[in-house]
Amino acid sequence: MSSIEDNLRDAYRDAAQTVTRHAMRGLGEQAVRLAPHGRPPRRLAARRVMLPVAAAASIAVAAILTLAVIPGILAGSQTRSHPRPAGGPGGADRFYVMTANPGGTALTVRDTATGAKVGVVRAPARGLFFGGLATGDGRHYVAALWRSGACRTWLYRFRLGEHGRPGPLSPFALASVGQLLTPIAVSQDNATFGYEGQRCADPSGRAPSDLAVVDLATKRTRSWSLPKQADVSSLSLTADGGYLAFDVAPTRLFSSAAYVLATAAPPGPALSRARRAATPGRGGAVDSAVITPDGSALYVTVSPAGTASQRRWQLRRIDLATGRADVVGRYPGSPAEFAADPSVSKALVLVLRFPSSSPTPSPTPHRSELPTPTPSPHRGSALPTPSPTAVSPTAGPPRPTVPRLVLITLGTGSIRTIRALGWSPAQYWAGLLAW
Amino acid sequence: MDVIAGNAEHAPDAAHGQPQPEEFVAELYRAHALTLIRVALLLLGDQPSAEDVVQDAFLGLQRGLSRLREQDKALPYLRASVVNGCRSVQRSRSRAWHRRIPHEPPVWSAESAAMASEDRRAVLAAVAGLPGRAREVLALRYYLDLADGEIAAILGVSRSTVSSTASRALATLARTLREQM
Repeated sequence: MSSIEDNLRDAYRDAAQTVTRHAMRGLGEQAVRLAPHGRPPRRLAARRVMLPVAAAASIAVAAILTLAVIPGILAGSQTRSHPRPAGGPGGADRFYVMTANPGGTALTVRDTATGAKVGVVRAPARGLFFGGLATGDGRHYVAALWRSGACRTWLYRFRLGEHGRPGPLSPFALASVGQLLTPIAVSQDNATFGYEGQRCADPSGRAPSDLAVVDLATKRTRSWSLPKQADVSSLSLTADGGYLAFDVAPTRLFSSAAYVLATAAPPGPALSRARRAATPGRGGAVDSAVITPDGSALYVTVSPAGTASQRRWQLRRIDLATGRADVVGRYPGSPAEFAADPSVSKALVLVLRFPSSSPTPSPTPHRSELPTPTPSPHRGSALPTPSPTAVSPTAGPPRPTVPRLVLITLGTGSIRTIRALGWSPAQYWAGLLAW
Repeated sequence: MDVIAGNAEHAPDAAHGQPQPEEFVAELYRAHALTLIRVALLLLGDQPSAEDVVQDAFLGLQRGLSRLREQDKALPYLRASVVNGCRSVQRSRSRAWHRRIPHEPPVWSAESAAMASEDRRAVLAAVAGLPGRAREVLALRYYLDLADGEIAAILGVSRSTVSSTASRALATLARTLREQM
């Protein structure tokens, strides 16, 4: 009997260790889950909305999440190979990462070159915790804060100064919204604010949500409804706020896709008003999407179907004029958070389950063009609708994995690991990436 | 949708004196959520469902905290809530199965590929074939290392029932694994 007992203990231990602290969501945190094939704590299926009940480590993941969730809030200024439209605090090849503490009550700015802490942004009142973060120009940030048990989001802004030092929090032009906002986005001209707002009327947490954009000068809000099963995890605006890009994670009712919505579109169902601009292929998932400031292209991260050991996630570029999709690179691990710089020339990606024996990942050596979708003239926008594409993942043997923060040059797909931060799963728990 | 512009309502009520119930629950969550999620995972097979069950248990604790006379009863309450929550999920899965609604493959299945060792996957797959109460007893005894008395309190049965259930479960398990070899 002792043998079977020992076997049982060993088996339980192995299975239990598939759940790690950094991959679990905080108390009251929306169940932003990753795709069914193993992405981390963001969107495995439908997101379930719950009121935040405590200031636990519950930074929303999703486009927060995602932060959300997924481990820590990250933000930073950018590297300098491309001009920054609005200028930023970072010097050449220097940028900063913002992480949330486990309770979500403070953001810490760290220099990615040295790992040094350069500043802290604390929640403005006790009981509030950070639920989302966005920037349009890399210098001015909007923070969404939640409070335990309250179906409301309070919005604050702050500025990153020289050397990544954050200025004080002050109320945002839009003081608060009676929904739980996650994710949020700001246009580069800081004139338009976008968000997905979870309605909270349903205590079961299965209420639908809205996509909305607010003209910050006039406070005029335009919103589109999302069905309650839809799980939006990333949100981005063009520089002038004219288009809103978002992704929808796969659920039982929806296949995953990235959408582009003209913000002048009339109110109504968001998925009907928007153009489906990218699809992941059968069984895959679009993890995140970001639109370029000029609205010419959409970058998406895609997790194809397959087992964890076989899967390589992809970075794809979608030309929104022609619908042509290119695979910019294929990488190991699971992309948990994806945050592009304001010019959408580089991206910080938190990669979970990164093979520990691959210190410097390499993208595929050449671009492969995916089938060009047929532009669709209907549904009210000039943006074409691509057809689903199937891309075979690259197989590989299972290896020990670790979380990694990497920097990807979007134009070339080149990737490098950021090592100075000394990765801490606890520190990066409820991940939000933003520049 | 209620959108407020300007500073009205901007400073939320932040008057706090004594530690709030939310803080107590949040502290419990930090200390025990991971272990409870793992227990739920062992009973359900997948992390999303396990997390949902544990979240619900903590939310339930928070709602009923005023009725909890002794704080050291909170953890046993949570354990019992998680076990009960797992039973509810299993029941709903049974209904969903009839409607052919899929759920996450269990972590020990080959489809999941979350566990590398085939032997250990086989052990857990065999456990999954046991009756519900047997699986609960084994998980609480061999993962949480709880005494039979504690397990009995969580499951609402006698200590002797726990002991006999565990014995029968281990015997069945040993036989099943022998037959597979």
